[in-house]
Amino acid sequence: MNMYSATIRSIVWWGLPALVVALFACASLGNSGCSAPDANARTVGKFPDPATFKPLADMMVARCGSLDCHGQQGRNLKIYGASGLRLAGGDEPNKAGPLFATVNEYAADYGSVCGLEPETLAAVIQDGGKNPERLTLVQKARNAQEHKGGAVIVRGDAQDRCMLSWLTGTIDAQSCQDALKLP
Amino acid sequence: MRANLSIVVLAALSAFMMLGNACGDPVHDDLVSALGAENPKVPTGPLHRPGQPCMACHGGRGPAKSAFSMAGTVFALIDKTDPLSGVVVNLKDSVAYPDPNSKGIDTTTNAAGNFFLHSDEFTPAYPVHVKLSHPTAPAGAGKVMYSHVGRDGSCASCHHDPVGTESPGHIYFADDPSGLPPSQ
Repeated sequence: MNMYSATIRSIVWWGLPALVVALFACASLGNSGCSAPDANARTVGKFPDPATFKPLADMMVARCGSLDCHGQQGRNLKIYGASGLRLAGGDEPNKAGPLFATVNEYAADYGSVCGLEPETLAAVIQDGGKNPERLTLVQKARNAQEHKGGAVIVRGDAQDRCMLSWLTGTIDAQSCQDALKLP
Repeated sequence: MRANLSIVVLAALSAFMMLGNACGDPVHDDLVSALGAENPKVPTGPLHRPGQPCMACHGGRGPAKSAFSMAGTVFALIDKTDPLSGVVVNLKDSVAYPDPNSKGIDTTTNAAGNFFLHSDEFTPAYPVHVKLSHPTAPAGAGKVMYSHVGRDGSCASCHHDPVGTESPGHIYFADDPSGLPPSQ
């Protein structure tokens, strides 16, 4: 009986505290995760024609790609362009003139936009641009989802029309051009 | 009884460890530390630390007591670090910019080339457009920032040396000495 009591006391004294520590350690380690994405996984779907991207890219370079916003290396949505982050060594920001981005910068920007949520983007494109607010890109720009830069796009304005038209597959170049005149 | 005490102590320690992570901002701390020590020849104040990202300390999270909304330093030329005083820095935010009657807000650089606006005198509605002029500079001299400020009130966050893919270099008033005020 005394032996049982001693064992129970020992469990209570050391077992429970150890359990608390173990649970805490487990919870902490659980956040670090160990599984990696499948390197061979590919998103198959319909994506916008890169040839239609330039007017949107020009708008995004000017409206989103300043060096303190999406013209930063650490961003998921990273925008290269002449008035912000440059892709090629030797190119400098703000050496702009009429040039908004180089060919390689347009390609990188296209990859950045499409790579944000490829499955969702493909679904929106497949649906002819319907329900574009499925995209974080649209939600953030409208500040419907928390966006440090606030509502840079207002539903129905030139920028909005520019972006949404790209999602339908027919770019509204005039709206993209008009968006550049916005403050 | 003792077991209960042990559990309480361990639980408290666990909670403290978890909460401890939420109390500091290591990114902000690193940003401030990276600025280095003060120049001993310049007292802490409006003339100190030209060219550094002012909002690191003056952004409202300390350690500076005064909080700015926008601040920076204007140098005379791109290839030199001589400050330029008397530069009028014109700022137009997204409220002022579309209004043709709005002149935005002006502030002037001091002897160190520094300018700053306290957060209680200007709360910008980003984006902000910036223009530099000087009352005694040759006609047409000055600079207009091609792009806008999107969200960072520290000019030096983007405008720092050396020039590279991520920075156009420090803010400067003229491409060459002919564009500077006569006294410079």
